[in-house]
Amino acid sequence: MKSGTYRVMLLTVFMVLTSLSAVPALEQRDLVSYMRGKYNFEFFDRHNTDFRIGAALHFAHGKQHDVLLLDKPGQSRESDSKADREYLGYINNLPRTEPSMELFAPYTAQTMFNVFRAIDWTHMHHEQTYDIMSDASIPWNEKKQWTDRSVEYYLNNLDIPRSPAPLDVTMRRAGVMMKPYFSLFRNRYPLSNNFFFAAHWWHPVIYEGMMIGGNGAGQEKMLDEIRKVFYEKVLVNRPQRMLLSREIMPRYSRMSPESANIFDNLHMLHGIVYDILAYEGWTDEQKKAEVYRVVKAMSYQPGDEKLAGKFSLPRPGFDPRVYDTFTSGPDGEMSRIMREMMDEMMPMMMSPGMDEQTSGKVREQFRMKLMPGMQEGEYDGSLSDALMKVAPGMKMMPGSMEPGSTPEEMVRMMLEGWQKKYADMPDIEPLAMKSEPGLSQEGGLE
Amino acid sequence: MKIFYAMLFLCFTPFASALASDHTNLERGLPTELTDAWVTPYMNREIQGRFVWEDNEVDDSRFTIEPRLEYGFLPNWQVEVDVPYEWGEGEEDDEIKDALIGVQYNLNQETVLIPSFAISADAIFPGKGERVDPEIGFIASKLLGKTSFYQRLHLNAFFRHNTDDHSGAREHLFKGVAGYDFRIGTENTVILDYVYEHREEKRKETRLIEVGWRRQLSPPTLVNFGVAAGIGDDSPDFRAVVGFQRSF
Repeated sequence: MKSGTYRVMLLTVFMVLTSLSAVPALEQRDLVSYMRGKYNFEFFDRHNTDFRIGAALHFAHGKQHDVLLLDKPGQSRESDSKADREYLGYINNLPRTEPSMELFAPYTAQTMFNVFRAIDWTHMHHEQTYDIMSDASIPWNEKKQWTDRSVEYYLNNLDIPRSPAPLDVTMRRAGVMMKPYFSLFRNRYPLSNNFFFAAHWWHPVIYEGMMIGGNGAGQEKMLDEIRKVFYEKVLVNRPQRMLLSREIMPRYSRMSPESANIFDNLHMLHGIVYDILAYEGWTDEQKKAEVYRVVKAMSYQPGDEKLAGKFSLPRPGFDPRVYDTFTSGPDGEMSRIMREMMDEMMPMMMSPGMDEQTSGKVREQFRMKLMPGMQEGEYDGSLSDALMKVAPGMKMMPGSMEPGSTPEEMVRMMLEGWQKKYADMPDIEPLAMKSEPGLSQEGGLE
Repeated sequence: MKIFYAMLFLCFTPFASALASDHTNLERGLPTELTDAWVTPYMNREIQGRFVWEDNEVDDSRFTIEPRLEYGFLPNWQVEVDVPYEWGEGEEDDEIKDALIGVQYNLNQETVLIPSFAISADAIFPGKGERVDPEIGFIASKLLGKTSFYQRLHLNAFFRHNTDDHSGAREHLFKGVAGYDFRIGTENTVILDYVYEHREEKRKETRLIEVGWRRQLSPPTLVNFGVAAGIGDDSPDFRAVVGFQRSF
């Protein structure tokens, strides 16, 4: 190649690259690696099948973004069945390794990469904390300090980590309940929705199994039994709600309320993002604006760590090997949080003097919207669509309907509501990690 | 020296198990010449290595063992050190040849319309003497189609200034690679590419068609295998590569 040609080629490439600076909305990848520690990959090594179940669940999580973003209007039922078959395929033929979200959702990666950064980063935290619990060389009384170290790394090395504050707070901050997409995923993609409810059973109970099993062979025994429950009961009769850490990993939540809340906030982010992507009324750009707003609203904000312990435990002695109506039914902490938020919003939205009949219809639609699939008498569409049908005079707050905008007044009222109810509650009692539990000694349950 | 490199290579061969850090991030030579615009995550460090067997009708067989270190030293930046050691019938002497210290910077996450771009700058030490050849590279990668099937198109262009001024040598060396990679299942990616590369001697070029397979064995560990067939008299007849990557 002649020197002149060579210079022209260099100049051309240089001009293409510099012209990129004229494109305002370009993001950078800004990925960060995992924290190094002696415990790295212990979960993979020690509990390989369970590691691979987690990986399969994450493949499904990744894929669901593209299923929704690429779905054609009116195709949800077919897409839902197909996706569910595919997800069960992963579960029955486990992948060997953990995926990044973009591997199975490349279209969403091109459209709204930041949400994948937030998710992958929190999956990294899952991995770290499982590793710490799996590593038998970390004495029981040091598990918390290693976990705290991992939480600190997680919160300080990416710009959008999930918040360590309880979901009660972050859900109010997100202000999504009256948005035109809220509840669409659970209504229109019930199989997939409930698959993820099962996934959000699996993650916490693994922690709890380790908390009960201790560092020794009890850990294997617990995880073996939990795996059996997952395949034989949970996947067959999937939970009807998103289970929170405090419900099904009470011991771990007492050891690390920050980590427990981070996982609840991730799991809820999954659900909200799927709702947004399932909404047919917005363009991809508008969906991106709303997803980014929610990612930010539910991320760590200074001072969140002081709120981490503000929750209570419905069943402090929960046994993860028991799958009963407490775990599988629609009512629980999630529905309590939603009901409280609804009660806090209602005075703003409903005209004074709403008759009892209308008020009852509002509450009935609300109850049904929190359940997967469509119930008899439930109106199609989002929660706000259904409420508008039964209470046409309902006032929508500014910022409720537009993509990327926060309904500030509504959020303020809900946060005030939370403050009044819970700001003065004592923090959850920390778990004494002095003595290691062991199934052989005490049946595993304290 | 050969034995030292072989031992070093084996020390890092990845048959111990061990977070997915670089599964989809293509690296030059692992196992094909194609690379992508992505860089290793910030604070990730990785040991890499490859063994190359190249058969050339003119020069006979030659072999290369190449240990490498890669580190994400700043967000969206990586630095890489390669020390290839070559021997074989086609080599005048067994030697470290084209050792490299280089950086790569990823400019952007791609969008539906705009590819991801990266630039690189390398200092290459050709061996035998005190020369240092500067090289700059431009890399573009683009996911293809409105689909959830993971497949990407890549274009690489590297421009090297040859500081060897003996008569008959080119002053500038160009290397261009165009390629495609796609996912198979959950752990595998396949690469297909075409390489055009100037040789130092004027009017001589290497042209290769390459096929590579990358398989993730465990969260931090990846193995890869590649073969290449040369086109034209100046290209090697055949090249086979076995490589690995492992975060540590």
